Amino acid sequence: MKVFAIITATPVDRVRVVGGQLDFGAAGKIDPTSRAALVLALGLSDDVTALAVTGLHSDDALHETLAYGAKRAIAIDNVNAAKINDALAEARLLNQAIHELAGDEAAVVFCGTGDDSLSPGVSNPVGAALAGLSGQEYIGGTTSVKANGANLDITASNDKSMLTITAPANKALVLGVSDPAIGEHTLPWAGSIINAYREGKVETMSVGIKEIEPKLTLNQLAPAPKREGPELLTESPAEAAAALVEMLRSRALI
Amino acid sequence: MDYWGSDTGWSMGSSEPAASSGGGVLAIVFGDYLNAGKALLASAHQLTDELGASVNAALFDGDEAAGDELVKAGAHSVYLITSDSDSLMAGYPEAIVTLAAQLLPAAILLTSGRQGDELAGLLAGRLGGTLVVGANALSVDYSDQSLIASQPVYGGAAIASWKLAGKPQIVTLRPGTASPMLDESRRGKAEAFSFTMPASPLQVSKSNSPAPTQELNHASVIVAGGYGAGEDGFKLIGELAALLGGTVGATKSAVREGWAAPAQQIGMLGATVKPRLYIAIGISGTPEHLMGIAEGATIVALNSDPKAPIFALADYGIVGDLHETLPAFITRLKKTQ
Repeated sequence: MKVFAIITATPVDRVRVVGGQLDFGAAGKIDPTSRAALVLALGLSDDVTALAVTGLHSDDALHETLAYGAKRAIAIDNVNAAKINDALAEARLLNQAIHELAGDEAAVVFCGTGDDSLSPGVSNPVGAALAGLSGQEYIGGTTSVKANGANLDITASNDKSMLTITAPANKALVLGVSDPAIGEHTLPWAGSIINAYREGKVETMSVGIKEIEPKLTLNQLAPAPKREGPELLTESPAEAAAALVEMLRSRALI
Repeated sequence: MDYWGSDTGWSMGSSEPAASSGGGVLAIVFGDYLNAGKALLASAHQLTDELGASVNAALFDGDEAAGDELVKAGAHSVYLITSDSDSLMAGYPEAIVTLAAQLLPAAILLTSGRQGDELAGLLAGRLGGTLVVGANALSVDYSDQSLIASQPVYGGAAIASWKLAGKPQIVTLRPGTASPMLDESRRGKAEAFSFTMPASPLQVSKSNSPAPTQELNHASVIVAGGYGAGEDGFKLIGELAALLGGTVGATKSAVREGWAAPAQQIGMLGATVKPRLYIAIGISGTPEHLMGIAEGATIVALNSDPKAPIFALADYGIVGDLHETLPAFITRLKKTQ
């Protein structure tokens, strides 16, 4: 079994608009659900490879994984993810990298599904896309993974109930992790930090895919329009309540 | 896998379902979230009306009456599918891949959220094509019949507009992107659709532990109270949250007064939340509290002070006495459910 953690980076400071231009800040960090995915992976194995497709602040996040205890941190540099933002293209690169690194061993891949740096409130679909195109089982909402002899005992949430899953340990799997609270209080331990400082190095890797043709073209990237202020409902309480219910229903928010 | 041997465009030229020659839009709808499904159909119609392409819906765990509602909301055909509750993701991917192989849709739409975005990712991997998640606007480039999807990026600081190539074009739309339409005169058909679950080496069972969906950082609807709500107000807040299937949150001041538990605190020293709907009751809107609300939520504020800072962030506001407005809101919700 070979264990991987797919890492997404997020800027340390909130991205701002300064003088009409986007300011991405000077540094990045590991996305909270990617950290949760890494913590779960490290709980399963002490030989975890962290992978990221080269993009905005990706090296900063990969350095952090070494401090947490990842054995290797690899940036896939075929295409810069910040320029393409194509989840499928990213998944293809990751799939090829895992295929090359895992060899004959079954790969268990942990992937955070939050994406603080991109569209807010939206789940990162890269892990699920990776499972889809590689033909592997995908378990979303993973909360714990434990080795149990020849099996893995996994718990996951599907938003309605908790599931218990038993999987053969020699079966390739992709595990989506959506709870940033997992590992929230796990700090890198001193030994890992020292090793990362002394020997840690983010490796780069070009996978054996001749051409990745992104199918998304960026038409426009513009600062978000400034909020004009709220729409105020000023009628009597009963009328305001009725208008509010109508508005929320019409926008499918309730 | 490549179900699309030749280019399937949008044009159908008739109101007949797309089964024989492909094209059109397939909307994925879940029975528990019918309103969101109707909004998806409205978005689909905005794309296809001028091209005469068909709009079909896959409805999971809904009955014929729900199917009829989707027809009136814009679907030409509704495929009624019973999910497999003992399987991972309830068999949704297998069902949709099987249906898509028959219909060959040019586009597949889902509602954005954890379930929708992950399902869209799986489908994109299995079917090929292109994928954008969390879009808040959708249009068509008629020169080559490609979708153009806009999404907030970088924490909401910017809006990116993408042109999709290839087929199918899979997009998840944020709730509230379109308003459901209703045309009582519409006729269509709803038929059962069955699929076969492939054998899996995984053993899946439901655990006795409850899902953490009602924890703050998972909740999609939050009703939060501040110092202005008072102890009595929090009783109404709890009732409203239960009615909306949401969770109760609170400011530091309210927690300090003992009206809410520390685990319900939102803000700098509490939870950071990413709901799709945040209703703030008697909350003034201090920066320490507001930093706990991620960008992208629709915020409704109710406060007696028209100058409360919360109104600068809110999408909708009511200036008034919560002891009059909240009961009216609750009564109206119950009456219209």
